[in-house]
Formats: sequence, structure tokens, C-alpha cells
Amino acid sequence: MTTRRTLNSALLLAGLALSAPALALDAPTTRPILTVSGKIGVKNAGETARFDMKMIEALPQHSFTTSTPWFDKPMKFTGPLLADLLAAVKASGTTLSAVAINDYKIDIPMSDVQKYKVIVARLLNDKPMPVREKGPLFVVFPFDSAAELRNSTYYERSIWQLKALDVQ
Amino acid sequence: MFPTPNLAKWRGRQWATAIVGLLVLTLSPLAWIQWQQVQLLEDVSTNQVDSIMWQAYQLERELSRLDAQLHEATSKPQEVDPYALTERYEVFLSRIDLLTKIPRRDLIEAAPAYAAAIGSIEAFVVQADPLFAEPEALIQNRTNLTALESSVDSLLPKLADLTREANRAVARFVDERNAQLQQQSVLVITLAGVQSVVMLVFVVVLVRHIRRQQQQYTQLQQLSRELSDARDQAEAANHGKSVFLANMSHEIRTPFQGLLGMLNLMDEPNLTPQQRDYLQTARDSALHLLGVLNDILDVSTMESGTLKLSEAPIHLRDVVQEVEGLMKVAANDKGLALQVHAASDLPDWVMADATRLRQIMFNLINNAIKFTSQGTVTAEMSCAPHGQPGVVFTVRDTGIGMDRETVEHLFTRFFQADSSLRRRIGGTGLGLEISRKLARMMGGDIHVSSELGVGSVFTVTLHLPATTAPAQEAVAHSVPGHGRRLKVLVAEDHPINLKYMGILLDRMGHEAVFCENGAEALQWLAQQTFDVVLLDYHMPVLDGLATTEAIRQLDSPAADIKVILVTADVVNDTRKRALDVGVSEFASKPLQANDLQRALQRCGLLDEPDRVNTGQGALWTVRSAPIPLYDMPVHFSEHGQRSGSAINTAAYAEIVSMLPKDTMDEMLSNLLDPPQGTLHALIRALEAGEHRNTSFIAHNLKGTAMLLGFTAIARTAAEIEHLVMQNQDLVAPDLIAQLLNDLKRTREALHRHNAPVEA
Repeated sequence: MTTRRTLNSALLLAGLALSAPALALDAPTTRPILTVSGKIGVKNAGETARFDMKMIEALPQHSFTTSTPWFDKPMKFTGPLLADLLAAVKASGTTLSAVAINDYKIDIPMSDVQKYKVIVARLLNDKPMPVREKGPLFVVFPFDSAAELRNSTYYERSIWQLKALDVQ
Repeated sequence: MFPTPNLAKWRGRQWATAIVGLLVLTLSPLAWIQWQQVQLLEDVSTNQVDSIMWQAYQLERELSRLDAQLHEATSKPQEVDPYALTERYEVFLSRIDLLTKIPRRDLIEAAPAYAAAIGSIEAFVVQADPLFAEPEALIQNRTNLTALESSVDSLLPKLADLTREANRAVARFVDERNAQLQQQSVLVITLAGVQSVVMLVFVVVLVRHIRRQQQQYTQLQQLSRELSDARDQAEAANHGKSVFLANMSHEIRTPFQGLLGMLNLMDEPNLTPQQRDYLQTARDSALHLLGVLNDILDVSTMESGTLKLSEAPIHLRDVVQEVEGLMKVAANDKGLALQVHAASDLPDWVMADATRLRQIMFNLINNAIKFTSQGTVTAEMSCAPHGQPGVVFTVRDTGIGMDRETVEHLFTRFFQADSSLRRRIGGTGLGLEISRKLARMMGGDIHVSSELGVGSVFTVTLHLPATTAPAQEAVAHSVPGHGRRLKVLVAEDHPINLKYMGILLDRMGHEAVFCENGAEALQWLAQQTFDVVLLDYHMPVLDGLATTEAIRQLDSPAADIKVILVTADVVNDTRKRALDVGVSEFASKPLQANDLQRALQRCGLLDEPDRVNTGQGALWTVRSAPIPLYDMPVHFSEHGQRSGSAINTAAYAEIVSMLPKDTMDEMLSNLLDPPQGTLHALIRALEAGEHRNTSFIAHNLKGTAMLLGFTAIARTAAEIEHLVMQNQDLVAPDLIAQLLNDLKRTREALHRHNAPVEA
């Protein structure tokens, strides 16, 4: 089990390394909204990598519409893939420890990132999300695409008001 | 209990309907409950009911953190990031929707605490939004900060109330759900109970049904066994009856021969016409009874499956002539004309059982005569038409005829054409059945066409394959000794019989060695090898049966020699005892060439059947099997000699022609001349009252007298033998007088017979 997970991670990292557009990461020019720490290969603020909304916007954008427990109807989410974000910092670990502005904390296995099209949403129905509407960043799993995602394990991993990721 | 439906009458569709109905009845409520529970669980999971309290608590907590942040900003404005303060406010705001837009918010919306809290929050937001929109201005404005802090402080208790209310709402919801689950569980248990009861009833009904079926099956098996046993018993009884009937008929018939013989012997010239009439009636009755017995015997042997045809080449024309000759008498008696033809294209020789063929012909002609009062009976034997194999025998009469119904039942057992005729005409009613069976055994059948008052036509088709003349015809006049020459040991104590048998065997071309009793025969067997032994039944020292027993116990190859027992004893029991001790074959006394020939053939001692060295004597000629007395038709009333003579001249003439004159003279002397003649020996024995000796001599006398055709003497001798055997008191003087009278008459008859010859 451990061996396979390690192997998966290695493959993932190999893929990330090849597709990485740049080795360096620019420093944020506006107020940073996301801090990535831990086992990462690219940093721009001491031992961490910080992102402002512009840097998030600069990553390849993806969209899907899915129903969630938190909204009455299916909603459209837009943002970069979590995988792309981690690739940008050359993350190498098995677990992501995600923290929200409201101090909510949850561990996301790295395998989820590879297995599902998880996005770090910045737009809800094409509109930026203020903090009062679970913004500015919202990790969303494509719940409608797979039945196994529609349970509390994945609902818990869908963290909103994301402010920090620690790669372990 | 429940009224049990008759399950035995249910078919597959009814069973299927019952089972499906039962399943639907019991399983659909269960399915409904399961569906309800699934819905309930889904409700809990999708509606996040339990998170109501969590969201209320989080809202309260975020407000506390905002309060703390505001307090810090009030006391140390320079140490607080104005954006972090706004962010804290925003986080608090984000929590509001999470509570107010939760799917099951109905659980708390009704509570007063909820309305109060939401109202206060909205008021606070209206006050705070503009201020937090400019964080840096806010952080510098102590008044505004203080105002916000006091608003938050007044809001906190309301949110605490909301949290408690949410807690109670969730608790109520859980209670409600538990109650629901409990209710459903009770329902499930009840349904399961009902289902079990229904199943139990069903099983009970089924078990009872199966048990009843098993009982019925057992009863049926029992019944089947009983029926099978009953059938076996019935069959065994029926078979037993047939066998018994066959045996009895045989047993009755055998002494009947004796009875008929005696009746014939009784026929003397000095009888009064009335006595003659009585005698004729007795003879007719006996013959009739014999015919009935023969019918019964035939039917019973057919039924016991033991009737076999013994086929041999027969001369068809001869058979037709014989039948004509015998039936003419009956027809003439009734004043009818009998015409019997044999077609010119008939094959000369065919393979057939002569006796049975004659039986069919006798039966049909006899019936025709019976049922015809005037006119003609025509019988014709011809070839089957259209080149088919076999022959057709047609009997046509001008009798009373039959209607259609009668014809239909004609071949049924015991059926007689006209029951009113039965007493007048008699008969067993078995004749046609027997004839048809025989015809079918011969590969043919019997058909009948009839017209009431005009007459009937019976047509018999028989599959009788044509054959060539048997070898005997070809060699009939060949040199004596041409056949296989057998070495025969003869044990016979009577000198005349001995002599006669010597001549007989010599003529047949066999070599004979003679001895006087069984003991001597055993000595001969020890010294020489023979092909066959002829033993007389009655012999001094060692009789025929004892000798046979001794031969079979010999320690040499001679133990396996063929033994032919020569006996006048016709009782079945004697034959059975003889077979038991190892006798191979029988020949009847007085010994006839044909009889001996057949016995030798049956012993397998003659290679080719019918290859008889016939010599010149007509006595030896075997053309077709002789007609045994019991095969004669019932109407054969002219049987036997009616001359009343003391001797049977025909038989006497035959034996005279056969034996050389000196031998003949010696035989007559040995029999008739005093003092050594057998007849005189018998008289002496009678006088002396020696029973044993009397019986023995009488037996010998009877045998020789019958051989010579001395009927009167034979009759008296037989009577004496019989009386002795019955242990009856002998009136010796009467018997002696009778014997002397017989002697006198015999001599006179011989004289009459010889006179014309000598003249």
C-alpha cells in the first residue's frame, strides 16, 4: 500500500516536473491569499510559496458544474486544478494539510489530486467569491462525476475559505 | 383449523399463482418499509440535519472571534491588520448563509430564538457593512469600533440562545427519527410474524398433502401388489387347471382304450340281437365319450402351451382317402351322400402332422354331417389359388346353414350353432375352436360362409410345404439288411413271444441275443457290447424296471445303453416310474414293427428316420402314421370286427404270412396243446389257487393270444389277470370252463380259417 502510494507520488511528480513551465516562482504583487509550505521545491517567501489572486488566475483554468450539499442547486466552479497548483511549487508528499481562514483544517491525500479533477475554485457561477460567500478559494471535488465522491469523506475535504496548504 | 384446499387438483399455474401471491403479500410491505428507511437515511445524509447545531455553534464562535478581534483593535489599533479584521467579519458573514440556507432549516425556523437572532444579525450587518468596507478608516475610528463591539456583545447572547435552540431541534429530530425507525421496526417484526404464520400454514397444508399422497401411494402399491399376486395366483390356478385337465383326460383315456378293447372282445356271434344292440350302444357311447375327452385334452394342452405339431412327410391323397373311408360310414348312416375329392394337381407329399390334419378334416366333415339332414356333403382338397403355397380344404353342405350372428360367434368356445340342437346332436362345442387353432398352427386359418336354410361352406387354408417322397419309398423293395444293423439284447421269458420277436428283429435286419430274465440280461451285458436292450415289463427273477435300475448302476459303459421297455401296461403312472428309473423308450405289447421302429428312432439309434428295411411284409410298410384308436372320429361306429369270431382272422392271417410254418405250429402247440401249453398251465395254476403264478401266466397268455389274434382267449386271460390284480375271489371252475370253451371255439375257428386254404 505504502509502496504503491509512493510509486504514484513519484509518477505524479515526474509528470509535474516535465510539465512545469518555470522553475522560479514570482513573488506576489498583491495581497497574498494562499501560502504553500512543507515539501515543496519552489519557494518565494522564505520556506514557503505565496500566491496572490493574480498568480492563481495565471494558472490554467478549468470549470465544471456540480451539485453540492451547500447549495440548493448545481453550481459552476472555475479555477486551476489543485494538481497544477502543486506542480507549480514542485510539491513532493503524500498528504496535503489544508487550512481555512476560519481555522477549519483537513488532510487531503495526494492520491485524490491525481485521481480526481479537483479544482481550487475562485469563481462561483463566473463571479469571484468574497469571504462571506466561501471565498476567495474553494477546493471542489467533481461530485457529480463519481458516486464514490458523494459522501462525508469528500464533503469534508472540500475546504472553503482556503488560506494555506502544507505538503507532508 | 383452516379448510384444507384439495391440493391434489392444483395444476402448475395454480401453484405458481399461490406462491407469487403469498410472496407479494408478505414482501411488498417489507419492501415499502425498506424503501422508507433508505429515504430516511438519504434525507439525513443529503440534508445534513445534524449540522444545524454545528452551523449555529460555528456562527456563535465566529462572532466571538470577531468580538475578540474588535476588542484588540480597540485597545491596540496599531497591532491589528485592518484587512484581517475585515476578513474576520467576512468569515462571520459567510457563516450566516450556512445556517439560514441549510435544507432542514424548518426545524429551527419556527423557534422564537431563531427569529430574534436572525433579526439582530440583519440589524448588525446593516450597521457594520459600511464600516468594514473601509478597514483602514475603521481601525482609526475608535468610536465606530466601540459601537461595533457593543453591538456584537449584545448579539452574542442571542446567538448562544440560537445554538441551544438548534441543539434542541436536532435532538427533537433524532427523537422523531428514532420513533419512526422504531415504528418501522415494529411493523417489520409484525410483518415477519405474519409471514412466518402464513408460511407455517402453507407448510402444514403441504405436509398434510404430502403425507396423504404418501399414504395413497402406499395403498396403491399395496393394492398393486395384491392385484399382481391375485393375477399370479389366478394364472397359476388356471395353468394348474389346464395341466390337471390334460393329465386327467389322459388318465381317463388310457383305461378307455381297455374298455373299448373289452367291448370289442365281447362281440360274439352267439349274442342275442338285443345284447348286440346293447353292446353297440355301449361302444358308441364309449367312442363318443372318448371324442369329448380328446377335445378337452386338446384344448387343455393348447392352453398349457404344450401342444406341438410333429411334422413328417405324408401322402396327401392317402390321407384324403382314409378320411373319406372313415366318414362314409357316418354319412351313410344318416342317409347322406359324401363326396370327397382330391384335386389332380395336389402335391403327392407334403410336410404335415398327419394326425392333426386328419383331426381338422374329421371335425369339419363331421360337423357338416351333423347339421345336414338330407342332401350332400362335399369335401375337396385342392391347391391354394393364384399360385400361393399351401392347400385349401373345402367342406360344403346342404344343411341348415347359419345366420350372420351365428357365424360371428362360431369359433367361440362352447358355442353351438343351435342350442336347441345341442341335446340332439351332442358334442363339446370345442371342435371348431380346436380346428381353427390347429389350422393357425399350420400357418393357415378357417373361414366360413353360410346361408340360413341353404348350407354352409367351410374353407381351410393350410400352409403345407410340398416335399419329396421319404426315402422309405425308394428303398421299399431293396435288399433286407440295407439299414443299420443293430445288436439287440432281448429279455423275454415267454417262449412264443421270444420266438416272435426273434423273427421280427431278423426281418428288420437286426441281430438279436435272447435271455429269459433281467438277471441273465445283466450277465450278457457284462460280457458283450449291445446297441440296445429290449426288456419285458413282466419277468421272473428281475422284472423290467428292476433290471433297468440295475443296468443304470453298472460300473461300465453299458450303464448308458438305451433301454426300451416292452409293456402292455398303458397306465401313465407306470410310464412315469419307468422314466424315473432310466427307461429310454417304450414299445407296446404285442410288439409291432412300427412301434419298435419308432422307439429305436427316438433312441437315436437309426440314422435316417423312416429308412425301414421293409422286407416283403405289408405289416412293415410305413406310409403314414397309423390312426390311433382315440383319433377316430366319434361317429366311427363301424370300428372293430363284428364277426363275433373267437379269432381275428385278419390278424391271424398276417402273423401266419409272417412266420414260417413250423414256427407257427410250434407257437400254437406251445399255447394250446396239453399238457405244456400256456393255456393249460393257466388252468393248472387256477386249480392250484396260486395267485401270483396265475397272474403271471394269464398275462403271458393274453399277450400271445393278442399277438395271434385269438380274441376270445385274450379276453378271458385279460379278465383273469384283472381279477387277480384286483385281489378278487376267483371262481376257478367257471374260469376254467370259460377257458376250455374259448379253446374249443378257437380251434374251430382255426379249422374254418385253414380249411379253404388247405382245400
